[in-house]
Amino acid sequence: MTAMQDMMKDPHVNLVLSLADDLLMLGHVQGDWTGLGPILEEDIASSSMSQDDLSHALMLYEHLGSRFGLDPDVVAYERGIGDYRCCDLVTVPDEFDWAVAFVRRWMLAHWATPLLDHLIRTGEDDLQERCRRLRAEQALHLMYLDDWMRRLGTGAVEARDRMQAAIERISPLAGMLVETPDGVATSEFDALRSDWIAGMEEVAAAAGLSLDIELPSPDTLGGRRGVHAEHFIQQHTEMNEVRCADPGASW
Amino acid sequence: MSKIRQRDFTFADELPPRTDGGTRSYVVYTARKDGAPHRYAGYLNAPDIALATEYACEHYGQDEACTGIWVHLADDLTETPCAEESIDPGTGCDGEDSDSDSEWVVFTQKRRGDIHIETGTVRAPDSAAALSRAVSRHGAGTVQVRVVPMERIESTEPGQLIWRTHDQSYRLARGYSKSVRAKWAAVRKNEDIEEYRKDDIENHF
Repeated sequence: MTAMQDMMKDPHVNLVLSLADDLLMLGHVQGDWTGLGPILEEDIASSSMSQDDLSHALMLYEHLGSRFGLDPDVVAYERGIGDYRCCDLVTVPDEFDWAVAFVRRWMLAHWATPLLDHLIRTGEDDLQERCRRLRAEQALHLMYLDDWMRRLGTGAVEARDRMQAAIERISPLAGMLVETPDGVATSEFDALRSDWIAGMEEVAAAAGLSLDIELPSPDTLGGRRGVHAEHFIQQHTEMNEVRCADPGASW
Repeated sequence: MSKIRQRDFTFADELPPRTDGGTRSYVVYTARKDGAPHRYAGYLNAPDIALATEYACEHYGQDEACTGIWVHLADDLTETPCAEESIDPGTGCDGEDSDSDSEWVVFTQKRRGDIHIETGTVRAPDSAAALSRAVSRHGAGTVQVRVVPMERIESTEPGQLIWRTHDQSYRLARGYSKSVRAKWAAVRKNEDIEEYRKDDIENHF
């Protein structure tokens, strides 16, 4: 059995990969906004956070790589499609609507917080240490995104309407985030889901926006269990283009 | 830009142009470590000073390791014209600081093209008096003196995380210089590239 197969059979890996793959794909997808943000400074801030997301994914891949004797780049890029554990919300096309891209990132940042807290409580030493650092830095993203959510929700009518429309578009898909990965007890996830929803509801209420999250039934199979939509496969193919063309390439 | 997006999607409607003046210009200074003087980092535009400070953290706060950021409206600074040679401190007029006066932060520029660095504070009743006292006390050996009311400066919290704790060398262009140069050198040795260049020159000239 290869080291990669060993890794994918470990149930705890699914949870770490779910966050790492979310951050990898989010950093990749949000990178498309570089140069296109609504104003220059927002563009820079968004790009900076995307770089953070990629770095945070790398920190988690490094952890898995050290555990299973794999290069972190191999963990990140050389798995089959069915071995990625990100939710497909990350790659749902935002059609260059800033509000949609923003709401998606906001929901992901709210999910990363309880998940990182969980990994800090339950992970081994190396993972705990890495997640503590990620937690502090993801908290910066969350503070920034929450602040904008309140500003836009309580700002001009058009801003509020756009944010509400984006929430209504993304909310039906948001349950993908909290699909329970294989090998993780559903009861463990219930508390995390509650924290996630409560955190978002508090901010949405302060912003005067309504939020209605639909949770998936336990039978729904999605990205957390390796079942991915076409848009994920397209993004994954594009992300891996250079890797496939020149497998040993380094910057 | 993602080829997938170019192929499949169009832009959402653009926001209409703002009619209320939109953003204002802010000046940003960063401190490299706790207790170090704040150094000019650059300008940015933002709707208000709170957001300007957040933008400054994500922008100038990621240019180099930093532990503190100051932000103020560009309109809030008063400064001397930039001198050809050093300022004569005798052109300023010192006076006794009074606790009832406002506190002003003094920034000085050592040479033309240098950045402005926090140098000290003075107390004065208005910007003209503050600048005059700053010139008198801190102007020697500088080409420009700037004063900003302390109460108009927004500061990050002590101990606030700004510079990330993970390896950020990838953000710094200098981190890539050697390897990128090596790559370019390798590419330029490639015969196909040389042939292409010859054809390219022939076609264009």
